[in-house]
Amino acid sequence: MKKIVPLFLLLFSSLSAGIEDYFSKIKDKSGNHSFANIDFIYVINLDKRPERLERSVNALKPYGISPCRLPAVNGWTLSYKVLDEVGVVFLPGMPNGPLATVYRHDPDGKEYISHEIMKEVGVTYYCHCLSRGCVGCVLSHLSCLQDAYDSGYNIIWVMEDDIKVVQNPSVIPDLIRELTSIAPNWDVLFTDNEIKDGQGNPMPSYDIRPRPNFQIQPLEYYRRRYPVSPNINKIGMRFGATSMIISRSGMKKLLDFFKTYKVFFPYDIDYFLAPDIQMYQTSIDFVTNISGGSSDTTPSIENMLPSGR
Amino acid sequence: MRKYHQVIAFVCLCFFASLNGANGELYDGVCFFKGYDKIDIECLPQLLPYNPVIFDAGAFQGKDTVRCAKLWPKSTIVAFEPNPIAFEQMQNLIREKNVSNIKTCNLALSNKKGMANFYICRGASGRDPSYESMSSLLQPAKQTESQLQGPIIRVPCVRLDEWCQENNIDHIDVLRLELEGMELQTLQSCQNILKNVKVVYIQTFFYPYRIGNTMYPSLKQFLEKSGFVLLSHWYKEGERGKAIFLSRELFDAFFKLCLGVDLGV
Repeated sequence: MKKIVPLFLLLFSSLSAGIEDYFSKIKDKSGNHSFANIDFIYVINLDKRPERLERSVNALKPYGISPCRLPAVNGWTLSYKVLDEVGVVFLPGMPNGPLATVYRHDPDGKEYISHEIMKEVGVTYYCHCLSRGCVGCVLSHLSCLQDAYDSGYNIIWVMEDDIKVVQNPSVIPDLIRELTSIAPNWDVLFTDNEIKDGQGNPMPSYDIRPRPNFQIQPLEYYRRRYPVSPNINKIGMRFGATSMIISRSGMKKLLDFFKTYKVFFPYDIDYFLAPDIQMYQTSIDFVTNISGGSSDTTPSIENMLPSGR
Repeated sequence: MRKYHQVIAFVCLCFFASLNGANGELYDGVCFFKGYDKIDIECLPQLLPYNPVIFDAGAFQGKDTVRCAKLWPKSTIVAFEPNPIAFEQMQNLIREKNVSNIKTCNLALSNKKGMANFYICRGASGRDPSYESMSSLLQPAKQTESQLQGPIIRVPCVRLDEWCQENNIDHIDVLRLELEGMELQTLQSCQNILKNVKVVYIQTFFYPYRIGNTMYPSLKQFLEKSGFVLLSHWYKEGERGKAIFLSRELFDAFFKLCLGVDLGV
């Protein structure tokens, strides 16, 4: 019986609409968006944030790095149909879950953010207080991965549009070579040593939160971190998705994970749960996030305007 | 997204603590909720559905009732107030604020159905209406009698279990009780509906102002025995306070299953 329930859940989830139906597409990939051993470089950017794109592109231009813009999925303007399909649906056989967030609405479209114990069959839940913007963020990252996977790329670089170049990123291809020689099965290499908080201080991640439809490993599994060379550290978890180098195996692991288990947490509280994902980060910052930068994943009137995608 | 991380990091520091607050007030409960200075309904929306069923017993002039109605526009609110003057003021306020989701009942919640004495409190002079929020079904105690002067009127009382049954209420998301000492007796007489209550927001007492006044230790003991966990309690030592208890299911769903924090309670 214990084996039948997960099988049933897996079958049921695979029958519902796929989150890939809501991925963003790049219309124009012309130009050179590769760099040494990196097949393609993406920068995720909302239509309504041209200034952030310009700043990111300009920051990389001196190094001959030219990312291709992926139009970000604007979670604030997603329809309820999409929200219902990309989140975690409570299914028969699931144990009652955490206090979670449901996007309820009137027939006329007025939205109510509802915090409910996850137990109503057929209802789509997100982790407590997950914003629409965070849903869009996950879909945007996955859009890059899907585009790259379908395009046959072996190594990609995915950036958000709040990057800060700290050290010459031209050495990143060398770091990839170094990592490949040390750990040929690597999946993700972050180009910085932790995300930075508002004051520019590293913000390490120490805790995990249970995911209702996925059996997580013990905390120690995710907390492990050790150097594999003077330049690179092996990590089990971290915050931030500002600048990630991802191998083809990493693309597949992440896409498989999210297509199977759907969106529940913010992207960077989830990606390290992908089974057997091998993550590394550089021991010093090359490209990291701008500390204290504004976020499009937090609620604001501007974010809710239907101008962006 | 980073703001989200900071919130999580902060919440993960939760622990049970007794802490001093401003004005000599003490705090007992989950540390995180101390951030909501004084006890306040503002901390509750993040724990509740968008359309909660709220019972406000001892609603008085309805100020907090109307606040709840504004905070949860899709809620169903039932407000009980036995004092006829305060009841009328509440109805006027509801009309003035154009709130449509409050049902008002000119009744007292009690452990017995029927008519009972209601001790209106108008302070030491017996003529100051600003003390009326301290009116109660309970007779003033000898030591406070001189401070709790006022007329005695007869008011109709109901038991919550019966009222809910008659009105097809099968659950209550927030049960707010400000009964000036009658809290425990009232809770003890509504054990059916109490099984389906998520949040108890309640007045607490550390001094027997009235005869039979509910005292906090026995109230806490009863609520814990009934499956509730203390979330937050602001009080003045030797006087009174306000506490929020969560049902064990909601407490665990939030702290254990959502945040992954085991507070050991």
